[in-house]
Amino acid sequence: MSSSSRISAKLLDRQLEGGRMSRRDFMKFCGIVAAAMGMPPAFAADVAQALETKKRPSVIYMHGAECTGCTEGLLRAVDPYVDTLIMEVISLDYCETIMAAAGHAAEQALEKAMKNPDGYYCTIEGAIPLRDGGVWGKVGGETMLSLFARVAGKAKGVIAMGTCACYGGIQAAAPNPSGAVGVGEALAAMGIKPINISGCPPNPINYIGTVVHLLTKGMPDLDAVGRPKMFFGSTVHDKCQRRKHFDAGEFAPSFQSKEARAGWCLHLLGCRGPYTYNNCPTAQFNQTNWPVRAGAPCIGCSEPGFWDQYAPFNRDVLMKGEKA
Amino acid sequence: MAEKAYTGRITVDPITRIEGHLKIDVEVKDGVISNAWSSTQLFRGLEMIVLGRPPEDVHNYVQRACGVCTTSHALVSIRAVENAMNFKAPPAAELVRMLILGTLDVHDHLVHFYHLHALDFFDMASALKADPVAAAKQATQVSGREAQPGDYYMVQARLKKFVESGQLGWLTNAYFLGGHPSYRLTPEENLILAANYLEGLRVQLKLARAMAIFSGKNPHAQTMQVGGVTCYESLRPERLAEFKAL
Amino acid sequence: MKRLLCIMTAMAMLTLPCFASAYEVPKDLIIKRPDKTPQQSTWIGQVKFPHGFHAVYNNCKACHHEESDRSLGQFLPCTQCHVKSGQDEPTGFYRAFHNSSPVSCLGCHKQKRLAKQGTPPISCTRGCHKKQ
Repeated sequence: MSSSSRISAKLLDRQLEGGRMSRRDFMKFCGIVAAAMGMPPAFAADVAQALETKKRPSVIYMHGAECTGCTEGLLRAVDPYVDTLIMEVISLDYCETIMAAAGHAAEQALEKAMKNPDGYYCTIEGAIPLRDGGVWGKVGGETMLSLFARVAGKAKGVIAMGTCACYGGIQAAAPNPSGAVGVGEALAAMGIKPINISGCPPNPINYIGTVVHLLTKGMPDLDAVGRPKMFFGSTVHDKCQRRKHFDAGEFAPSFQSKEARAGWCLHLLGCRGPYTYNNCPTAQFNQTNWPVRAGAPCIGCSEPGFWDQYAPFNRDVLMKGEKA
Repeated sequence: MAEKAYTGRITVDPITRIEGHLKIDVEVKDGVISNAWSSTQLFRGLEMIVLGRPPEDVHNYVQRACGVCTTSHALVSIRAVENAMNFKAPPAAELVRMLILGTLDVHDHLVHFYHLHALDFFDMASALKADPVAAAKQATQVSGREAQPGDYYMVQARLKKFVESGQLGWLTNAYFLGGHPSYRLTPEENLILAANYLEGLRVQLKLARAMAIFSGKNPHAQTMQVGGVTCYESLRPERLAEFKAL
Repeated sequence: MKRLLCIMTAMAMLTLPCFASAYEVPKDLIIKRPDKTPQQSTWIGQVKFPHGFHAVYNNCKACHHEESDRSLGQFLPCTQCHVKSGQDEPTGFYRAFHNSSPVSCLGCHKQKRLAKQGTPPISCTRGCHKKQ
């Protein structure tokens, strides 16, 4: 062991023992590191800063069969704002919607991010087409199935962002031409169990809240379909502000009725609130509104298969034998 | 790359800073593009999916064609059904629809220019070398609003800290790193655009909020239906005032 | 041969009384609110529950989920255990029937619809709580 590394080891030991390293010792340590790197003594200050600044966790954001609505939804975040998020909280090392590089440069950025010694978290937006070996969805010439298997396989954690990534979403609606399925289903064989943040699109609070929970307190409590209970534990019906109208049997019969104008319950107009788990009534979207408040019945967009199961949307859910 | 003498094929896949998945192939002969192909890399089949469904439902489905321009698909779908029925929506509904579409237009112009396109035109790294005072002066001249050098200094400091962290995030492998002849703006102009890029992320929030007052949520509006709009609550004076304030 | 016939007759005689006093699964039940739970809504009354129909297609334990030590004829009605009032009460009267778990009416019906195993009712006004 060379003399420089011996000194480094001694200094580190002191730190490990819990004894605080004096500023002078720390700068001495940085000077040694700088010298070992063949840099002039002034570089020690740079080393110091790099070591002191905690490294931001790396996030790789993949896009599958999606519409980018979830990324747009994320752009509406306020706590933290998205610019604070990507500049000061996380390191968004790959995201096709905003990244500067394209083509080969982007592919290299992805490979570099995957080689990160501190690991990375993988967020996937969009479903994975499976039909015909997955050729209906490709990124950089590689099928989404193959690429996401590689990226998600090495990740410290996987989050499926949006109903498409969770359960297949819009493209999985009948007749599902591309054979699209959710991330959990496509990559189940690899043992990947993503945290499902469903919604079309999800409230950004739900995604960011989950990321923060992952980084600080670890894995959140998940419900039977993989969604964090802290956001998806209650139904839209449970916390709806129009509940008093439901309880009183006050249902709006049509959109142009005076009852609808008065803000009565939208059950007869097809509100799927009673069996949809999400926090829309309390969290609200864009800090100002949510569909039922704006007179639009809930379509159940955070539920698996809602495009088929809860359709047609503007009437009460179909009973046995009823046709659309 | 010696652009003038290059002959061969260049493939760019994935094209980034778009919605969706796109591949562009070009054939170059002596530095001039002789042939080009564009190919979408994803097929979802929304047209096949909506076949057989009730027409008044379709706007929900096609809105998910794109999450950036989302509302436009919904509105067109509703208009198509109303045209087929020879039905004219009430004037108030049309106004609300126009407000929703209008906010989408402004929002999209902003986000599209800065956060999708601009990195092809301005060099974030060169902004670090700019003089904030000169930048503020230029911005005031060009935009007609009073630009403060302090603001640009803060942006520059923030960018500096970000770059020095060593984690370039979404700017990894950016084409302007290390300087590139295609980026022709001065450092001051780059700083102005970098500041606008960051501020734009905050401004688009307000535009989306304004739309959400009428559309229920943004992205993916829900209040527009065949026959009109459902947002009675949004027509109350305090909500209109909220919209105006934004 | 004659001996076999005697044994067969004896067995038949023994099993016959068992069938005669066999337990009859209730066909239709009325689910009533437990006495102390206040009414949450004005229009929701009693629910007519086709128990026999459910018993034919499902395992008893699918709904009688905490009664692994009991068997036919001994199962308890839901309202025996789920008595607490209040919508937010996790094991209360309301949640017993309206839950994401397949043990509850709504949870199971939702799951069956998702698995494309029919269209059991999930509508509030036209399904279980239909005005009789």
